[in-house]
Amino acid sequence: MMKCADPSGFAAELALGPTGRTVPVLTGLVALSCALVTAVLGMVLLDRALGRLDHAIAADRDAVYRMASAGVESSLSRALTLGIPADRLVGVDAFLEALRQRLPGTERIVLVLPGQQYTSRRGDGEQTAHAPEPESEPSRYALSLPLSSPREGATGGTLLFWHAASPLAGDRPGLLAGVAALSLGAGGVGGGLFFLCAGRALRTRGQRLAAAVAAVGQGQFVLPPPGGGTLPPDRCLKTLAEQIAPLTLRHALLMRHAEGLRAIDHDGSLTRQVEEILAALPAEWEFSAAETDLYRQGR
Amino acid sequence: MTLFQRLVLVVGVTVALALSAVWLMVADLGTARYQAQSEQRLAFRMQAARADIENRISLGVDLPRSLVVQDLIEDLHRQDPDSLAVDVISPQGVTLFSTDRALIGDQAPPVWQAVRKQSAGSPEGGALSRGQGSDGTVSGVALRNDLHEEVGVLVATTRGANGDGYALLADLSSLLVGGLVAAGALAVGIGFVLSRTPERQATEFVAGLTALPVSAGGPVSADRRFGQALQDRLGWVGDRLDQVSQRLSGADDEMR
Repeated sequence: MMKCADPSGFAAELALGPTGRTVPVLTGLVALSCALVTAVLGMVLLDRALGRLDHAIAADRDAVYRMASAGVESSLSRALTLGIPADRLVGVDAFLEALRQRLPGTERIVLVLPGQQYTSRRGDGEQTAHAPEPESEPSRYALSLPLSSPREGATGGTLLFWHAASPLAGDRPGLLAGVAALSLGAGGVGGGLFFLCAGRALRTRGQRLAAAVAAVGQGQFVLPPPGGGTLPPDRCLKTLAEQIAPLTLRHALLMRHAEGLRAIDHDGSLTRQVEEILAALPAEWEFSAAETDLYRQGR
Repeated sequence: MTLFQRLVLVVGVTVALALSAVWLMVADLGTARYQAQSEQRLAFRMQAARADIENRISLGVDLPRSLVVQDLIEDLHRQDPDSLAVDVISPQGVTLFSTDRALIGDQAPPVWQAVRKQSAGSPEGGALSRGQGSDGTVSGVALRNDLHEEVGVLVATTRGANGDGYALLADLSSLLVGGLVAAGALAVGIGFVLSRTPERQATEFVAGLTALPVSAGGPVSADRRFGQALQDRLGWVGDRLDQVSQRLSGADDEMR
């Protein structure tokens, strides 16, 4: 291989090739994208799933409350049928409290009768005079009750069950924290996976491209085979190799011509002439020696 | 595999795995809550039925002779869509009442016997005893008279809690499928956006290197200028080689 000097200083003007600086940025963007997409889709999934679960559990809870109301209606009807006035019922509060304890998740039960109201409470079982302030919208069930006097016929009452608006409301903060943690984890995994699957190759081939471009700037037109990769630096390397190949062939032809002239020189004058002409080429230039391969390839 | 394909694969797989983990977390908790609610419903109904039956026993009628118990258990069976069978078993393990009337008078199956033994040891008014039968979950609660003696066990066979859980999981699965589809679409979009810059840089570099014409008035990117500079460099090298080659040809002609 022949080396020629390059006085142009072209190598000094060359910067790092395309895509060389993008790997850390891409890795960070991939990690951020994975985290954000997981967070957004995770929150939507969580919200929808909790909505469906709430609906399913609420339907089941409603069935329990209806059964409880039927039981209360049956018990009160027996007492009222015996002639006990509605405002003289004893132990209703304790009865409601015992019922409330058998219904997990129920905060308060209120029985509303004409002129009277009973609330589930522990201990003394006193009647309440004022309606309790509701903490959430209660579930309401109408009761059909006979008054204490059979002559007055049936009357109505209402049973109110106060419970959490969403059976899973208490679990939501924990689930949100879980989604946040999974989002962060997805970001880390996504960034790491991208680096392993593409970032590392991208960086290596970008460095290879930068080295090739720098070498061209220094007059070294010898490139390794570009390979069959499909990443952006691979395309650049392949195109650079294709652009250098004709120069390599022309240089090989030139050297063959010079060899031929030297071979027919009888007195050395032709050799001197050839050396003078070839001295015009920079000494730092270096071309591939595989010109015979180029001949065979027909370039 | 191109950069776009790798990005889609990485983002798609990562987000899909993370979303699946979210779904598992929610589904696990949700089905546990739902099953607890279902069990609460069953327990409430069983306790209410027990109270009804014990009220009748307290009036002095022997349990085997309380024909109204048959109506009670059939009401209990009818009101619950998940109920498979309701039975009352004597302390000796004989079926006294059953929604499957062919079983009345027969010895109860082993799983019912096991539940009966558990219930016999439970405190009055305590939690249900449970067992797993071939058809579903078997729950039992002891029936006691005024002397607190066990006179029988009320046994309910229900479609297992797992059945409820699977139905709910199937419902939640549609959410997961939707989430995965959305994740796939977003992965394609993200892959396109993130791969655009490196691909465009390479395209511009190659265009400059191969001296493709620039659109009139269009801006020339730094990557294209870089490629053009390299192309100019190679062109200059080619020109030098041509000059030397011509001079050699001249020397050859002179010699001839």
